[in-house]
Amino acid sequence: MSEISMSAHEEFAAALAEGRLLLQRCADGHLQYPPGPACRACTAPPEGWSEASGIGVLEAFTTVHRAPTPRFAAYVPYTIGLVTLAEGPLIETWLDADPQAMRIGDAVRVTGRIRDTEAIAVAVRHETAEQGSAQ
Amino acid sequence: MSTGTIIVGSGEADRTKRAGKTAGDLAVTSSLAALRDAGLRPADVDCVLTGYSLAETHLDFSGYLAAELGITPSHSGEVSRGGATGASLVMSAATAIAAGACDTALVCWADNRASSSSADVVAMLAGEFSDYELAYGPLVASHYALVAQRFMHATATTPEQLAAVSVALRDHASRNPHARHRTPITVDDVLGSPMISSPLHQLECALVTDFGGAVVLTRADRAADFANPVELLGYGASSVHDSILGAPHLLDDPGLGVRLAGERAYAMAGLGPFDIESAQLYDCFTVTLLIELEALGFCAPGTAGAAVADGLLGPKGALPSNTNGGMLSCANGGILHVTEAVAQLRGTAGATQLPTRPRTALVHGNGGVLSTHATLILGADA
Repeated sequence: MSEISMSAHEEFAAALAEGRLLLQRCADGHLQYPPGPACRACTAPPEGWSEASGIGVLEAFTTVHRAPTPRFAAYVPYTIGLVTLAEGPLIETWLDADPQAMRIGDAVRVTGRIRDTEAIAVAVRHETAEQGSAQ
Repeated sequence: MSTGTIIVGSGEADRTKRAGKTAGDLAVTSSLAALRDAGLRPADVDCVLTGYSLAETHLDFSGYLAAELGITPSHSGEVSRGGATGASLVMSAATAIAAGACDTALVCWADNRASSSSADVVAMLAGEFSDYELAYGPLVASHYALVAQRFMHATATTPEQLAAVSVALRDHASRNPHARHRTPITVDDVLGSPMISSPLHQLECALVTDFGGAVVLTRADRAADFANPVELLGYGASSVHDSILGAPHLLDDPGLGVRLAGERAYAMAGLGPFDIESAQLYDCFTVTLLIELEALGFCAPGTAGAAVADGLLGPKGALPSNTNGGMLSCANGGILHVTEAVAQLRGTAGATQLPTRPRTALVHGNGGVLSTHATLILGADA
């Protein structure tokens, strides 16, 4: 191991690559995303990580048709989702679903996925038991 | 009630795209125009404040501009508040004058966003995001698109009503020989233009152009020394979040920061929305302007889209706005909202001059994703 420890972002990305979505936890137990130098709720120092359930609410989504930078050109169109996690924080994700079939307020599940070589958070529709039996 | 400061000069640079044109060229040209307009020499200025350039690196742009003009200011610096920079520069100069740090301030914001050979401004702005946003490939438009989808969902605002903003501003631009785009457009043209980030189409996004604008402010007790001064009646600012991830209020109250800045400006001026006879509202995207109209009290919540479709912003509307065509049809750069407001109040706006010269004008600047704000209220004698 190198003596240089991983940055918060590197730790987050390494866990995401394994499918785990991490929220930063402060000494007083507040959870935040994205990680930062101090707790935004109480200014306490970050203490570690908590794994999020991944369950959340889709607050909004947009399909991008013009790549911001060349590295995204191969992916257009892609859909970005904004999700409120059950633990509270907002997270930006890719949305793996037909945007025409999604609505604001839909339940989603956020997991880690590898896109080429990069770990990203991806939201998929979360089928609740109630929805499953509503046929 | 007032701020004790007046605007005594205003100038804009030629925005024609030309290889080799620098942000410095645009800053010097617009500043000299503003000083000439005020009847002042550079030596009369003891404060220089500038915005930032995306296309050109300066350690401190104000230092460059002061040196090129031969000014040795007692107060100077760069203001960097995204799209709110233009209005914020005026506010910062006014506070410095009121504090006695200086008497006469030159404020300028200029950037060669089109002429620069190296800058891809859209990519540069998108590159400002954190790692936790960059990985998902958002344009700046994408984050406004998320806000737009929520806003449309909550207020039943339609795509046609959003498009009406672009149509109204293009109508103003059609009379402005200096506007980048002058051919009138329809709602169908807007909704038929390429989708950039749903629900926002290309014709709903601000232009990327060169711009340069400058104004000169001084103490109100010197008003008799100047022809056609414009009074700065009030100002207010707010900063309510940085990134969209830290802004849950954007989901249900996107106008929060606009409202806070506006309330502060109205209180200082002792005026309310019904006293405002013209406006220059930051129009990076169509939805931005609708949110501002509601948060500044010009329209009841959920009614801005219908009001714009009914002609609110036009030359004969109740609130003629963005009369040069705005950032959607005329040019980028929030400083031009200030220079256009001044021109309308003085009756010197030329081809875009409103049929009835307004006595009051509100300018609102917005930076980030509705993150940082500055509101100015200006007035001139009838």
